[in-house]
Amino acid sequence: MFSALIYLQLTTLKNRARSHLRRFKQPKYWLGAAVFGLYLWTIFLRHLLPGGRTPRWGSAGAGLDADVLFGLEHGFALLLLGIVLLAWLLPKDRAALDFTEAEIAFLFPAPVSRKTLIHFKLLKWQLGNLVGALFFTVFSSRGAGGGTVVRHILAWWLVMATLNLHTVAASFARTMLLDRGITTWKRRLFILAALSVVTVGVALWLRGHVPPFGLQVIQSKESFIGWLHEVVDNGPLFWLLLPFRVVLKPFFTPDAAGFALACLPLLGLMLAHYVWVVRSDTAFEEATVEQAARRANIIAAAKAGSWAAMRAAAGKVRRGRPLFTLRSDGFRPVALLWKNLIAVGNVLSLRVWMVVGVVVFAAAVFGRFAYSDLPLLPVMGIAAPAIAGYLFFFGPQLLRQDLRTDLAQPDLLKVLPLPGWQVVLGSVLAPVTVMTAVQWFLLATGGVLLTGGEASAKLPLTNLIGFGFAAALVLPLVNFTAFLVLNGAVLAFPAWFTLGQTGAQGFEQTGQRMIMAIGQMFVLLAALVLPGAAFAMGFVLGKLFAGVAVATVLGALGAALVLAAECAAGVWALGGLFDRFDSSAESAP
Amino acid sequence: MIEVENLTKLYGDFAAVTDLSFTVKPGEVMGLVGPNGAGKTTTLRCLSGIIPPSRGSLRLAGHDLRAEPTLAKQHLAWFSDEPKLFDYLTVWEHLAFTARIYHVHDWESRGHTLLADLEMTENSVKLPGELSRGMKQKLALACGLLHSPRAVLFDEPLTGLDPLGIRKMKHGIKRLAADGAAIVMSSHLLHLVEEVCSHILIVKGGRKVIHGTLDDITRTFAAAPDASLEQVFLEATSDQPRPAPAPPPPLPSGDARGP
Repeated sequence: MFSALIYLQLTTLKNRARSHLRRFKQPKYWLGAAVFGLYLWTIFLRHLLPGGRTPRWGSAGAGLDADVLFGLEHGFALLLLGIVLLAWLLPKDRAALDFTEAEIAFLFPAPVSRKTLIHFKLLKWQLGNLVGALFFTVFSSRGAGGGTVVRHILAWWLVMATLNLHTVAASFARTMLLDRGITTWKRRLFILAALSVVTVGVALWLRGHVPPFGLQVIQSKESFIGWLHEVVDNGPLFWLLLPFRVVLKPFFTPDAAGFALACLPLLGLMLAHYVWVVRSDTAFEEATVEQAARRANIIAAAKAGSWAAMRAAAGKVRRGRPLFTLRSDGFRPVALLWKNLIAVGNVLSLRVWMVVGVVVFAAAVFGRFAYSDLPLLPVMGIAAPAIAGYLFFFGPQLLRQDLRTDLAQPDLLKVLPLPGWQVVLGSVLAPVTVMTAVQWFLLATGGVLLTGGEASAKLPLTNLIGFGFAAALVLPLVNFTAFLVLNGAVLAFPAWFTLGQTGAQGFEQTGQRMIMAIGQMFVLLAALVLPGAAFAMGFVLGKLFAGVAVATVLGALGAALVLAAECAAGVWALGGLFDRFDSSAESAP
Repeated sequence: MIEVENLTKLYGDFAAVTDLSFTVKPGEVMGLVGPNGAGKTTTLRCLSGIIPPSRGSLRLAGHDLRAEPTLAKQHLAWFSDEPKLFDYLTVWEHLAFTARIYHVHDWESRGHTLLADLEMTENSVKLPGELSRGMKQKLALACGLLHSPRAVLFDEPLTGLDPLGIRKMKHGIKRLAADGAAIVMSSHLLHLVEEVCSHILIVKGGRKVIHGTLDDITRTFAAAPDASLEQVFLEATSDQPRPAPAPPPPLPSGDARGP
């Protein structure tokens, strides 16, 4: 029977690899794969070959000294302790093994024993653990040399497999407790109580045996490591962290013989966990079926390319209140703005953020007048507009409530009685509005903070107002341009994005995304050349007749006019693209 | 009125629909039937403006879909087999959105009536994720009917509905036609097509096999005059050579003898 399951797994792997390779007939996939491969090679892989840089830490070598490794080992042991505690504390669902719907349909009614099903899952997980181990090795042993990389991978795999086994065992134990009438909250209270007792015990022991933690401890590396030795080499913390250090020991053992020796107790621990899992008589079938159905919905939504649908499938969508009442008359694209603002509100809760904004602004005003000499104020005053500028880079990635989301269901937009330019305009307005509002808030807050204390002496008020006004004028149009470029890329190259039913994934898709990101950046920079020139002209002209503040505003006016013209042309052009957008082309038979 | 002339849709070299022409007048319900892959959904998606046709002319309520897409779509309602809804809008917000897009000024009273008719009133604050499939279909129906469309396209409208839902949908389609809408409906449920539709268009391999009233196509394809649409459909889409048309009904004996 088990051979059938092995066959299933191997055939699935083979066919998945084959279909993956088949995609390479299309240039976009091999180009994406090539770019991603080049990136991976440049950043990580070339360091893994012999002759690469010296290893930095871990079993792959002795790049870091013993003291640092000692600190890292205990830090990671503490982290593992936290993970294990959370596995017992947080989950409230019954034990479920992650079978797919197809596996459930074929295997659950089949004459396959429960033990075989568990073995099948355990085996299948090892493949995921191995991939995870490879992934972590790329990051953790950047610079590792020679054959030690294999040990590094093995060490990661052992850590992940042990954690994996413990998580399953814990889920079985939690379910067993539920079956015996111990509710989730009772269990949590018990664990928290036990944790409190242990914490108090450890604190009391430390108080009696170890010098208190203070400035003298962190004045040098040696003093800190010495203190750490006193804390963890004896007493309760030694015993508390021991199992986790056993798990990590192979990873932190540099030589081959030591590695093999360190593996022995860990293998014993894994064996104990394995016996625990296999001998647990806990029903997992019902919860597994529920989990598989839920996951299938999420995967279907992901394949449809809709993050919103994924959230809906995961039950994370909640009713949001519209920011304004939508009347039935008026400019039709406002309906799309209204709709997308509701979608943004579902993720960011706009009303809460508005309240937070008002409170922060009030605090800034209070700080400016009550503590104007505080040296932190000008720092915060500069940081606020700096964050506004930084938003320009990561804001469009967070705010995706535009065509990038809606084109996953193109039918919804295509049937609307709106010309393409109105669809594009309405779709882009919501993220632009939200991002501009945040940037204006940051500018205003920064401006208030910079009017007081030492900063006001260096930056006259007129200049501050001029800069602020100029930035406030230009930012919405720059944002609009940025979002137009992003939406334009989706409309112009739909095949390069995960839209409709394509659902393609893999490293070549990551490469595609990198290509698109670079392309978008170039288009955006090109779009900003003319406005930049207009700003320079306005500024120079303004400087002939007035000061820096007026010249900046004049420059910004010039830039804004050019940007507005570019945005209008962009909306018009993208509208044409939307009118011609054929969602069936990508999924054509 | 829905007018289609020489509609052709190509995917590369593959012709999903070839030179398809038909007209649906106000008050008519045309059943679009054909085997899987016949081009029914492609035809409907072209007609709804979702995908552009490769060739041909499509007119909805007198407006050319290519030249005046906004005016043409203003009179259109499209119901796909799988209801497509916005995840973040509640039932009532879907109606508000539709009202602004189509400029339906009395949308609130119409919305209340539609939701009451569809037994959705108590669900008006729910999100699509909280609705059953049938309820989602009802919501799509309410949104589609809010602006009193004159051209209505249904793609497998009865999929996933319970018997009561099917009955209501049939009545709804008939009532829409009675109110003067031109309707095209694709479905594999031939007995329901037979019951609801005044005209039938059978397509196969993207081409028209026959178009006419049920009586017309029965006369052309069926071996017996009282044949069901299912028999006609199987005959019309069969790869076998077509049998001889049904013989005329036997005359009464007196007439047979002649004068």
